[in-house]
Amino acid sequence: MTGRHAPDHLIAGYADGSLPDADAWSLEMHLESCASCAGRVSRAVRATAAGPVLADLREAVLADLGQAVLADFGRRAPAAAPPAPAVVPSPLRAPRLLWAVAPAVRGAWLPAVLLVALGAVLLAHAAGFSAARPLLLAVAPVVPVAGVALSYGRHADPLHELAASTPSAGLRLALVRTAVVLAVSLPLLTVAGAVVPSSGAPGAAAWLLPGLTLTLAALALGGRLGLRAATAVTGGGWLCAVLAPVLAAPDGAVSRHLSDQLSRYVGGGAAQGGWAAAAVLCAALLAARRTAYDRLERH
Amino acid sequence: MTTIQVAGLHVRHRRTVALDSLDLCFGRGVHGLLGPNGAGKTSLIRVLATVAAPTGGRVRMLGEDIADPRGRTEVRRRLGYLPQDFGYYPGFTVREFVAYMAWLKEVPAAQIPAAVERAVARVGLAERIDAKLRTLSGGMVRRVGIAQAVVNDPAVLLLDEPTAGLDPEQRVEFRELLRELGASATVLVSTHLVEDVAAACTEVTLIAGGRLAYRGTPEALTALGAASDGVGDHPIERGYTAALRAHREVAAR
Amino acid sequence: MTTLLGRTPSTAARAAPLRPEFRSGFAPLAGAAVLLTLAVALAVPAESWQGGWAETREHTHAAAVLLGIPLALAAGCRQGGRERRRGTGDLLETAVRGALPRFLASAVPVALWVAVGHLVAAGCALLATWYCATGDSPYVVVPLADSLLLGCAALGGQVVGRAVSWRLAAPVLATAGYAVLGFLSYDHDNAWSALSPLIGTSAGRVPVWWQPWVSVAWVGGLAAAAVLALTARRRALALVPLVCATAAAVLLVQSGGPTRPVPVAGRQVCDTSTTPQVCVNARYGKLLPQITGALSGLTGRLEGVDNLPVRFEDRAGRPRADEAELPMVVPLGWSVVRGRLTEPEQYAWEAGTALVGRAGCDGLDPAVARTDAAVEHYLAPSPQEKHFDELAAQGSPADRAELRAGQRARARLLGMAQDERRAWLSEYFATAGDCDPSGVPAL
Repeated sequence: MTGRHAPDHLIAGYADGSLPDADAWSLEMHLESCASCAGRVSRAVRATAAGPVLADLREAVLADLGQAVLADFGRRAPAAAPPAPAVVPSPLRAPRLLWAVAPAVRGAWLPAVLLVALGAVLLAHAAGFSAARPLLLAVAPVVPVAGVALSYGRHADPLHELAASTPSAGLRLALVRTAVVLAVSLPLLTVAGAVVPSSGAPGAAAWLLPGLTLTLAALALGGRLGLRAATAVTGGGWLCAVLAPVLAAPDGAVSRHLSDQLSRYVGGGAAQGGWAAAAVLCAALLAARRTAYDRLERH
Repeated sequence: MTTIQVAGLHVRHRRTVALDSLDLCFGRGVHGLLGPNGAGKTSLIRVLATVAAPTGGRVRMLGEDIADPRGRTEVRRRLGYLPQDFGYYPGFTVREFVAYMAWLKEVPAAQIPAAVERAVARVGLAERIDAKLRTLSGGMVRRVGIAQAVVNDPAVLLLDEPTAGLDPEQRVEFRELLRELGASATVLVSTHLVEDVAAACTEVTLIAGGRLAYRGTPEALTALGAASDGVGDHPIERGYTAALRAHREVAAR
Repeated sequence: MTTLLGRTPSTAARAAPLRPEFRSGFAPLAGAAVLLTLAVALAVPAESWQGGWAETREHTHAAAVLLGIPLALAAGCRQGGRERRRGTGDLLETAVRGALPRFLASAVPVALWVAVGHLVAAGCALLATWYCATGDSPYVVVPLADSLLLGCAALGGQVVGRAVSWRLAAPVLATAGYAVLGFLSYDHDNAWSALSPLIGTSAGRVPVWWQPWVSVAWVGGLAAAAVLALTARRRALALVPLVCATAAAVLLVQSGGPTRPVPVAGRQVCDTSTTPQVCVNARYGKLLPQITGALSGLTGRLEGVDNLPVRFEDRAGRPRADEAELPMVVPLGWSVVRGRLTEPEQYAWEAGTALVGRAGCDGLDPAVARTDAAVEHYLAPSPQEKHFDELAAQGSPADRAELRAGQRARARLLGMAQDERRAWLSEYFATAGDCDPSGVPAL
């Protein structure tokens, strides 16, 4: 919109509906602040076929309202006259918003979770692998940690620097994405673990507290080290502590050693209590360092 | 009325000092930020965009202290920022991307469609508004970045190398946009292209070695270049090199 | 204004241009990762190898082959993809130096650091055993050969990383490497199982002197062939290491994983001052004082008794006619942890049971069983005896009657005079080990 008033050809086009959308919006913006142009538009519209219809409408509305409203109405542009503007649907539909809110779910992470769950079930039932549940319990706590790594941070999110300058930035965004990751992985893997036969390993729900603790620890460390390094440390540390002694056993009884190792780490009330206490500690640490997420990740 | 006040700003990366006790004020208008590479321009823009925390000093923007989280959130609602490395989602269309950024900036949901259309029209991409970002050229993507920066009608606009990848005609249109924005907002443009500064900016700030080297209008800088025979092909370039040399002589003493 | 020509290059600038790769970057990280993983893998089951040199060798060798080689492959693969990730490929193609020196310049640091990481882990394991060693001597050839194996694996992984441009190549290669090695190592019936560096050894058998080096030639030949095939100007040069590797493989498969018995495992260290004598396998000969001390009560009470076995023996296989089996000391981690007997009373009781020798008889006469229990109680009571007595006291009337009878037998044996008891025990031990109850003297 250049100049001080709208040019005539724009107004004529607007009145008979032949104006492109962008120009129509620009004209409407101008009309909001320019009364004389608004009057010109309404005169042009009344001259078209819609004029008599609008005149009746105006009479009916004025008859219902009082004088004060009339005075108010007279000042404003009769913008009820736009000739059927294209109803612009909200550009940001819910699916797109969900797509942006949950980066981990739309990428390679979801197929990986499904692979782990289905793979464990298939190994146990179709291939008769006896150590399917211990293996699932060993891998399951790392899955949400990997999801967190893929959903927040400068290496995972191309919009990280832009989003850091908006009011939505901060721990809340990271926690929303982590909640999505947990909501997807927790039920899937627990159900898969329950379906797989036990063979001496701890129960199917034994990995929930360790998984939650590792995720919170990754978030708490991420404020200092950057989320990529923090998730590598927590996820890699868990896998190393659980799998390294088992895989290197000289007598080759991998499944038995794995069951023993897992029973030691996650089996029994004392171990679960320890994980719960660690989860509370990590949550407290995260709450204390929540302002670390307000800024750009430096690493 | 000053929109941005910077007092004693000190920014350190690991062991190098990026900004050393900087004092600045910015009001309404278009301010150009010039300086050699590594002088601290990007650090300053990042601090003002509230994405990096200063090591020392105070920054007040729009009446709020950005060290306070609530003040920071309030400032971010009225802030527009285009970083140098501008990341985006290739599968989004222009409309969806700018709308997503508007949503992140907490623009009221009812106003988002109109704001998106307006912002995209302002940068001249109205006919490509439903094209996917991966099909656009580098210059068009940069313009989409500018669109997302202005979608919430910001009071403070921070642009880091906004004309990188734009052809000369687009740069002319961009300068027009800058002048229009500078009428109602505080715009800070960090750039290496001195012609942009000369044409669009009302004030020039020169930063070298983390310190303020020069502050004045483009005409004054040109005059400085003419007076103390600076090196360069453009009058502003000559002023730039002259001001740098003078600053380094002062710093060496 | 100073010109560039006016400055003389400092000595630092003349230093080796290849040094930064060794000093910082990915190579030290890879070495640290290998060290950490091997350390965790060895530290968790530490009780089962600390104190025994052969057990230490087994555990470190298994950890190095099953964990170290896949990790080395993954580290090499990641380093190999570096040119592609950083986009320096085009720039390096314009270099004057050939492809092989360029490859080695980026590959050797990783290989070296991985080998060093393994050496440090193995060294720490050897140190951890050294202070509580029970006999035998350290085996140092195997860790050295393993370090070379890891270095070669890192080089091979680098070739894969250069050739395959996939983000997941490193973890997939490590998993595949582990699967292949595990399959080869643990499936001993397989004819190809000798190709794995981890051949079937045990505490008493050690690989022959040339097996580790031929393994190194096999793996190293494969790696060298891959390197040359990728980088040499004349690709046919890769056939030379390939031929060496094939020869080594043929040798390994034909010999079928050769091991020889360790001489020290066939010897014993004896204490001849007691009745019966106590002999301990020379592999943990330093335990002899502890074992003799644990058995001192038992042997003291058997002073002057006839018809006893001459000695407790600790060799592989069944004991001879006049010998009794010493209770087992291996596997480590149960009765012996870090060179100390964990439960001396339990150990002495097991020795007493071995002397009585009727543990394998079915359907034993209750009177004979009671007599045996009384003798065991006299020689060396079990630590759980009190607990079982309490259980019987709260049990059914039959249990209580049995308990009372057993206690009467014990009291009768203890109440005998010294000479009477010795004579009775001599008569008793004449029937030891015999399941027939007819000759056993009554109490």
